[in-house]
Amino acid sequence: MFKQFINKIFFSFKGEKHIAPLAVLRIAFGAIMLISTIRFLLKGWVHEFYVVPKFFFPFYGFEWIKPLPALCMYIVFAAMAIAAFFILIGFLYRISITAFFLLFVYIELIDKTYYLNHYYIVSVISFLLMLVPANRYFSVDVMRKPSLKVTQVPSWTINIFKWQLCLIYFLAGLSKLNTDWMIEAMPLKIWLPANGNVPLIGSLMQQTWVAYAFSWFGAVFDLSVCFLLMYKPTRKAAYFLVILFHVFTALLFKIGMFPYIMIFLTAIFFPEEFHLKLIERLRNLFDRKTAGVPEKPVSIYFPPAKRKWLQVLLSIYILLQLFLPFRFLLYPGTLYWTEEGYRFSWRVMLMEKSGTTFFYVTDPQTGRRGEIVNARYLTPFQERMMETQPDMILQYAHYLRDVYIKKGIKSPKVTVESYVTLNGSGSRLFIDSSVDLSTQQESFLPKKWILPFQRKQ
Amino acid sequence: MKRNFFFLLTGAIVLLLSVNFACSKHNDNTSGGGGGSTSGKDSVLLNIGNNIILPGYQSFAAVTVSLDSAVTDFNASPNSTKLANVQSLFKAAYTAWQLVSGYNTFGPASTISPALAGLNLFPVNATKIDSNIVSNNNNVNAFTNATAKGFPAIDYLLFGAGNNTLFNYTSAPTAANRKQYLAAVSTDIKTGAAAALAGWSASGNNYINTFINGTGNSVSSSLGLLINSMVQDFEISKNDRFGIPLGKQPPGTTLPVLPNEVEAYYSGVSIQLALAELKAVQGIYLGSGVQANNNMGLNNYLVKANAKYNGGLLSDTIRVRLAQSVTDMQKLQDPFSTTILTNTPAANTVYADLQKLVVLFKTDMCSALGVLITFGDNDGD
Repeated sequence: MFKQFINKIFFSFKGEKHIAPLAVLRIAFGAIMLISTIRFLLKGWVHEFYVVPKFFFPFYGFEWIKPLPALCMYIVFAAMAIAAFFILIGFLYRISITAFFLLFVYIELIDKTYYLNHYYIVSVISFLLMLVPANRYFSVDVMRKPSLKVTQVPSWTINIFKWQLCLIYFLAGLSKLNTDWMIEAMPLKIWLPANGNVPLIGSLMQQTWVAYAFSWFGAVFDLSVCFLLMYKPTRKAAYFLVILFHVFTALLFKIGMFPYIMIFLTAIFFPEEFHLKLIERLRNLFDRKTAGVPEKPVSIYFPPAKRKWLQVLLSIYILLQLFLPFRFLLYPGTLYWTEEGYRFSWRVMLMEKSGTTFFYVTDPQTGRRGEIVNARYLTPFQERMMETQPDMILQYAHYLRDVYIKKGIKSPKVTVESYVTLNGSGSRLFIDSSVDLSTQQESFLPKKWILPFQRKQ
Repeated sequence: MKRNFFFLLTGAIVLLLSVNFACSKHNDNTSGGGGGSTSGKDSVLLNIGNNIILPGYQSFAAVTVSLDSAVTDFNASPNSTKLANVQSLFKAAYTAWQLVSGYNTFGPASTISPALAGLNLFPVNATKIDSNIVSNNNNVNAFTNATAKGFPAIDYLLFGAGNNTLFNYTSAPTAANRKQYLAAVSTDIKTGAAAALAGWSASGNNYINTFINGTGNSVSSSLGLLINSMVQDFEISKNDRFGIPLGKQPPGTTLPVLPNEVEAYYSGVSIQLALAELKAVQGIYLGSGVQANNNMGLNNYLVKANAKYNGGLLSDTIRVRLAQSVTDMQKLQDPFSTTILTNTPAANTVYADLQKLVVLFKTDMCSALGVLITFGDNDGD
């Protein structure tokens, strides 16, 4: 059955399409990545996130990924900006997009403190862009070597992006279908009133019904927008909704580039005429000579071997994309509380979660127990993110164990007293305070030392 | 038609992007936690700014001026009356400090140089002070003198020798140098206090205006800055005033309790100071204290947000816990360096109280108000 599905992607999509949407996607992606990389540098986050911290929270299995010295980190970001610019103009595309993907993923893997769904989207889109011939039209590469130019590409090269965006929206919508979001209007009931002084809409934000309206609209939007974008008669209206929705979230919440990325990416749902017009306009700006010259259709040739491995690769990719968001079902307990299987699942803006954790190191020899001042080892950002995420609590506990072993204590015990509040529940114990975390191992198995979430206490 | 649509679209996106960039500093100022008022300003910020913070800095600046002139007077002709006078003004100034130390990490206190927080790094490095006096090194703001300046330094200089204090300023061979060092430390405090006040006051850099208009709940809003600063100061208080002396820090030390690590070890007013600090926090929370009595404090935001805690109201929980902590702290007697040994359980109770308050402030209050602790993008996961 899966084979059929894949065949569908590759063969029922066998028809060819004009390459224009892909070229526009490449340009849009390059542009927004250039802007967001520069923004990241200007905000001083390279220093703050990757130079200042003494300790980092790598992802499970990627502990070998370490930050480089300060100067090299800046070089990495500069290289990323240059790569983004090259992607934008379509120059040395294969190298640029591969470099961008690798550098970006490297940065993201250094510390999960900064994990954001929008960084995950960037990783995913740049991965897919590596596989498609987005530089074979309207690019510097084609200008330098006209024989590269093609006008027709297999449909999958465009459809895979649509599929990915549909998955993102639909799963984001699916994850909103829960009691907190739909019945309690949480966390919007907390977040919206904080915008009470916004001109015009400020007083509205204080109303409970508005929180409900936003919650329900958000869920319906996420679940339906992709179908509306694919269906011609509703496409324009749907895209207007996309803009409206993301602009609203940009104004109300501190979510950086995320809304703009989504607005740009979803333009891929427009038909090729739209993208051709767009390219025509750009051509008029930069390259008047070739503007308006009619083109004869040229199809790209994928050698069978390449086609084969792309098929395998994409099959694995699609399976993984379908599996990751549902892996939480394999874990017991409340997902928002334990966060086991939470990341990489397109769950956006679902929780107002906050915690305080006291770490205790005990010398088993003397029985003396001391409380750690977290600010000595972690930045405020790291501390805040760590305090609500059990895998980070464990990583930090192991770090403290190692720090105190170095200080000469034999097998120090590390225990925590951790309080977390989730969507206005009020703070309650999060982690079993009797468990010595220094001996607990990280794995994909359920963490038994997370206390079950009780709404009523 | 399609072309127009495209133009409209690009225009809208470009506009939005530029708005986002242009406002990346200012659009944080867009929201208000719930202390609405008729003037469109946030009445909680108005009250806290005008009636608590500003008067706090005013009295701090005033008392440090008095302290400094008392030091000058004492140095001119040291005698026991003048010593008593300068000692009592020191205690007053140190207490006044506790009312403003909660605002150390934002606004003028953090932007002036040296930052105000440096005025209270304890325990003092007495050896360093002694050697500075011998070598007549009065550059109290040198990097190496970080724990040889500010209130802890005066605490040592005026109380460190017990009954011999006056002798140190009269007949001791280093008397002249000691006077100079005392004067340098006191002037440094006075200068810092004056600079912070000038930064806040309407006739100076008018940060009070920025503060009052900094509505919203982002990290750079006044509420965000105030809560972050207050929570940080509160944690320092818990750790440094009680945690370290009580031996709560990790193993490595041999003594179970470390009495000489307390704040104001020599003058022995530790509890008095800790109480002043706790009451200052209580004042910000209830909107009372210094000159405020209209009860517009952080409390109001929680009431308005209708934040719950274990079935009750979070606002009530915090109010009750604060009052309980004050009561428990009042059971401790000064000098703390003695009572920490004779009445360790009471000190441990206070420590536990403060821990509970840290959780309530940092976790429940911040979460209920949607206040972020950190900068950086956040998509809520």
